[in-house]
Amino acid sequence: MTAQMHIVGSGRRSTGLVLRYVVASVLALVFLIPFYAMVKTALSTNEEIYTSEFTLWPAHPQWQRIPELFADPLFLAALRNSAIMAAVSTSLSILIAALAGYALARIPHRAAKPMFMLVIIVLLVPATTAFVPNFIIVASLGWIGTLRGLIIPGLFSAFNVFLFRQFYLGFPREVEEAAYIDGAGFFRTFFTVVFPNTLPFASALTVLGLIGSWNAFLWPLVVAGNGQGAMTVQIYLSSFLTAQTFDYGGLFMAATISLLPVLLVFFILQRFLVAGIAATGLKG
Amino acid sequence: MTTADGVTVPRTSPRPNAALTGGPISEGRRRRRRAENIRGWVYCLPFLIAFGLFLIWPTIYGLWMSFTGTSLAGTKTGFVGLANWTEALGDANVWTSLANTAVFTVLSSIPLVLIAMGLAILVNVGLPGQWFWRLAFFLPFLLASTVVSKFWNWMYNPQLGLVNTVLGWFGITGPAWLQDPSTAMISVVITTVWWTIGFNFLLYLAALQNIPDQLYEAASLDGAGRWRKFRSITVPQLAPTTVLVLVLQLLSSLKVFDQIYQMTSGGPGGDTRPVLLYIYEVGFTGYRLGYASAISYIFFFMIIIVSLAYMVISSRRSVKA
Repeated sequence: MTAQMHIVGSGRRSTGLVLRYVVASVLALVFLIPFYAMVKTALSTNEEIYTSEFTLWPAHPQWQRIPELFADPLFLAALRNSAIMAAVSTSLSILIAALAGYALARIPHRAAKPMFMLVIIVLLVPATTAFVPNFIIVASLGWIGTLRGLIIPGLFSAFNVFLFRQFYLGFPREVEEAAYIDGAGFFRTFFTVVFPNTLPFASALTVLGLIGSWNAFLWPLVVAGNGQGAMTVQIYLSSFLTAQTFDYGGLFMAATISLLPVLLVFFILQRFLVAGIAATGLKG
Repeated sequence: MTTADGVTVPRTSPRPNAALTGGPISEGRRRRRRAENIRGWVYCLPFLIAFGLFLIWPTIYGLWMSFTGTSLAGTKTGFVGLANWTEALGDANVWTSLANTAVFTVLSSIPLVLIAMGLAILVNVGLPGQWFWRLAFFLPFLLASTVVSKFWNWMYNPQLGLVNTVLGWFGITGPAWLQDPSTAMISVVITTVWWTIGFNFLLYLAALQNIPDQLYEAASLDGAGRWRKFRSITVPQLAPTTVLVLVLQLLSSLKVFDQIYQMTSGGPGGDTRPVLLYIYEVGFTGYRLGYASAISYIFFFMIIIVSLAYMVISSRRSVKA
C-alpha cells in the first residue's frame, strides 16, 4: 500500500488503476512488438517476408539459419571481437574512471578543480572533435583493423569519471580512515576497501558500458576494416545486406543472435541497474 | 562551488574536504596536504594518460590539421592557412547540417525527457508487475543501431511497412516517411525516442523510488489531492534528476550519427544530415581530413558557446535563489 492510494476512494482508485493498466499495456505493446517482429522475420522464408499477408508465426520456421550463420567465419570473428572489445574496454574504463573519480572526490589536491572542469568540457565534446584526429593517430600507429585500435582510444569515459566522483562524494570517510590507521597504503585502501564497496554501482555502469561497446557503431565503422581481425558484430550486420543480397531473414537472425549476449547481461545485472543509478547521488 | 558544480551536480553534500582548507595550518597538516597532493596525481594518472593521449593530443592535433590539407589517402599538402576555415564558413552544407543537428536535438530531447518522466510516474506507484514494465520500456535501449535502423526502415516502408498499414485501416494514405522531406526528420526522431527512452525512464524510476513516502503521507494529512501532491512533491523532488537527464540527453542528441547514417544516409537531399555525418562524409568518403577537422572545430565552438551561455544564465539564477 502506498501513500498515494490511501486517500483516493476505492471506486475511483480501481477505475484509475484500470486506466493506467490499459495505457501501460498499450505502450508496452508498442515497445515489445518489434522484438516479436524481429524473431518472426528471422524465422520466415524470404518469400514470406515480402508478402503483405499477415501470419502470426512462420509456417516453416527457418531454424537452419542458425547453423548457417555459425558456419560463417566472419560472423564468428565478429562475435569474438565484439565480446573481447566489450569485456576489455568496459572493465578497464571503469577501473580507470573509478580511480580518477575517487581522486576528484576525495583528495584535496591542486589538480582536482581544473581536472573536474576538463571532465565537464570533455563530456560536452568528445566524439566530435577528437574523432577525426584520433583516427589519424590510430592509423599512424598502424592500428587500423586491430582490436587495439578499437579499444584503446575509448578507454576513458568522462561520464563515468563524473558519476564515480558523485558516488564517492557520498561515500563514508570513516571506512577509509580505519584502513589508513591500520597502515594500508593508498592503493591497497582503494582496492580492498573503497572499490569493493562500489561494486553494485560499478555493476550498473558495467551494464551500460557493455551495451554501449557491444553496440558501438561509428568508431568501428572507420577503424575495424573488413577483415576478421577487428570486424565487430554491428559492422557485420550493417554490411550484411550488401554482401549477401537481400537475405532479410538471415539479417534478422544474425541480429537476434547478436542481441542475446546483451539480454543475458541485462537479466543478470538488471537488479543493480536501478539501485546503482539511485546511488549516484542523483537522488533528490 | 564552481559553476560546473552548480549546473551538473544539482544537489550534493558540500565537499568533504572543505574542512581541511580552513583554519590555521600546522606543520603536520602541511605535510599531509603535500602527501594528498601526490596521491591525487597518482590516482588520476591512468585517466590523465588516456585522456592526454586520446583526447587532449588529438584535439590539439585536430586544430593543427584544420590548417592543413591532410587527406585520408596519406598525402599531406602542408599548411594551407585559414583556407579550410573560410571554406567551411561559406559551405552551405555545414550550416544546414549544424541546423539539422540543432533541430534533431530539440525535437528529440523534449519528448525523451517528458515521456520518460511520464512513463516512470505511470508505472512507479500502485501498478503491480513492476519488473515487467521496467523491462518492456527499457528493452529497446539494448538494441544496436543497426537493428533499430533496419527494423524502422521496414516500419516506415510506404508499401509494406506497419505504420502505413495501420494508417490504411483508418483510410489514411501515409507518406513515404523517410523519403519525404517534410516527414523524414520527425520519423528519425520518433525512432530515436522509441529506441533510447528506456535509459531516461530508468533514471526517473530510480529518482521516484527515492522520494520518501512520508512526504506524501504528510501531504495527505494536510488534505492535499493527487494533482496537488504531484505538483508540490513529485515535480520538485524530480528536479535534480530532470536537470541531469536533460543535460545527458542534449549531449547524446548532439552527437547523433548511427541511426541517421543507417536509416536515411542524411537524405532526402541532406534534410536529415547531422553535422557528424557531414564530417564523416567529408573526411572518410571525400578523403579530406583537414577540412573535416575544421568543421569539427566549428561544431565544437558552437557547443562551447551554447554551454557557456547556459552556465552563465543558470548560475545567475542560482545566485538569485
